[in-house]
Amino acid sequence: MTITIQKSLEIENLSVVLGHRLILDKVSLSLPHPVFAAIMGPNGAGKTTLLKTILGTIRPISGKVYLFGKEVLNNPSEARKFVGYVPQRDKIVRYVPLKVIDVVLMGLVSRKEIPRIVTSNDVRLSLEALEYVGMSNYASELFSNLSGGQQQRVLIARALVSKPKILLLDEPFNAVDANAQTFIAELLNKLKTESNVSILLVSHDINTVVEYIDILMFLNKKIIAVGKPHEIFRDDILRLVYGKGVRVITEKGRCYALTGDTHG
Amino acid sequence: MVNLIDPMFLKALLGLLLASLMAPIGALATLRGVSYLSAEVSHAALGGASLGFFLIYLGFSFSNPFLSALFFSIGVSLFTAYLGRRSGPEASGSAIGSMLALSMAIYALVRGLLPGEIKAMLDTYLIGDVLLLTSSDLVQIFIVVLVSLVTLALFYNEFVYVCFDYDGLETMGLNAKLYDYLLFALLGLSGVIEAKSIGAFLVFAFMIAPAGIAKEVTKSVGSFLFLSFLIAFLSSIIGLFISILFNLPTSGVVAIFPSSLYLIVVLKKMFSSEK
Ligand SMILES: Nc1ncnc2c1ncn2[C@@H]1O[C@H](COP(=O)(O)OP(=O)(O)O)[C@@H](O)[C@H]1O
Ligand SMILES: [Mg+2]
Repeated sequence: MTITIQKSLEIENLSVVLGHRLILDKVSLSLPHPVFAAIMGPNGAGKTTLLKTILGTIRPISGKVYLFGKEVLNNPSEARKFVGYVPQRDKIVRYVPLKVIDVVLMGLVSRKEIPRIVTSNDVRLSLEALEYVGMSNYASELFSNLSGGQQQRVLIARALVSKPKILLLDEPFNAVDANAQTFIAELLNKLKTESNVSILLVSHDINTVVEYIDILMFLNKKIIAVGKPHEIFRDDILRLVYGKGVRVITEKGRCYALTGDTHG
Repeated sequence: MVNLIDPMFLKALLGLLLASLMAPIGALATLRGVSYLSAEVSHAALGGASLGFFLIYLGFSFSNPFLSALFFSIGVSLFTAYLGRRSGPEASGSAIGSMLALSMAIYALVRGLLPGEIKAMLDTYLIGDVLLLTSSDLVQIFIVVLVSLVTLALFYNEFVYVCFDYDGLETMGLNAKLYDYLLFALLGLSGVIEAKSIGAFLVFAFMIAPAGIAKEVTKSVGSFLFLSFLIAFLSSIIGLFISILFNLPTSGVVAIFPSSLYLIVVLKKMFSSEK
């Protein structure tokens, strides 16, 4: 019997130039499936750019991306079927008066062919996704009236409603209160352990998820280190990522990198 | 007295209805964060119409000012979208400003060169008179409104999604760029309709003020768009009656209602947020 280890994501020598500047420099990584992976790096490190390149919405100048063995850049629509994406919440235009259920339905409707008609099955699936993130009581509330953490959970539901095999999240803990952070962290871990969904999140702060992380990467234009969190949370590595001013504090198994970096 | 079956009155009524039917597109522009583009595109239409009339004056009888207004307005709108996409909202903001200046400059230049009767026709694109709309004007307007509303109905969800979360949509396989440009093209069409029916000068009353008022009281995109239409339509009808009863200039009276209501809403909001 042969055992093939399935890869959720493979990136080979990916370089991205935006506005005549090199933003990502020969980034390579390989993730098993299912995995809980996180990418950390300071503001402007290229984290968002990396996620968008993985999704095929930014074209690299060189390199390759594979999602579950499918090449993304030449055939993005095929590879995107496996992916759920949770964008940075501050990119969402909150004064568009959409109900929570409509936000989740978006995850199904926008994947359809014209005419994108909403069926009762779509509504049922969307309500299930909301149930999963503990937000089904809010289905007919306005998205804009929810708290930061609640909005984040709705956006996760929107990403989950199409039953992805890998979930990419951009700064899911930004402007989210501590309780909601813990809730989201546990939710993501449950997705991996119970539903076989791989998680790849980028964040400037991973403390709430550090105990669940299988693979942590430091990114600052290049991949600076890859490993288990306790292996790579080292003074010398962090200094490479964040510069000289960083201090690392370890307390009760948690690592805090004091960088003075407030993320936007 | 107002003669309710006077063809001139009926045509004015129809003109205001058609102009109001474009208000939801102005409302979408608000959601897209480019509410002032509505004003810009109607001034672009004015610039385009100027060129059309100028060609007629030069003897090019095939020239159709309505069509040149249409193309100019759509072109300016798409260009603004392109700049915004390339260089961010600030760039599209300054693009709106400079295109507005350019359109008005074309108008002023061409107007000075035109003889009286053509000048008067051109001026209706600046300050229109719904009481002077001809049947063929109305047919042109009707066709554009119909095309716009059918497009809006067909791609309603897509437009709303694009306003809400462009980045997210792209990754779900929806051609976000296409729908964004289509939305801007619709805005271009709305500019022509407003310029042709009520005049570029008064577009604020039909495209921006109704959305600004409706935004404060609605809780869904659908009701927001519909209320924008309703505010534009009802206030313009009231304006039409008053202008006829008291023999006042129609466009001015029509525009005063939504504009002053909008001012009240804005002031009220400012004072209540100060507390
Ligand atoms: N469209 C763009 N054009 C030019 N530069 C860009 C563009 N998008 C992002 N950048 C630049 O790329 C760098 C990385 O950005 P980003 O990926 O958003 O970083 P992060 O998410 O890690 O904070 C930043 O310096 C940013 O200014
Ligand atoms: Mg980012």
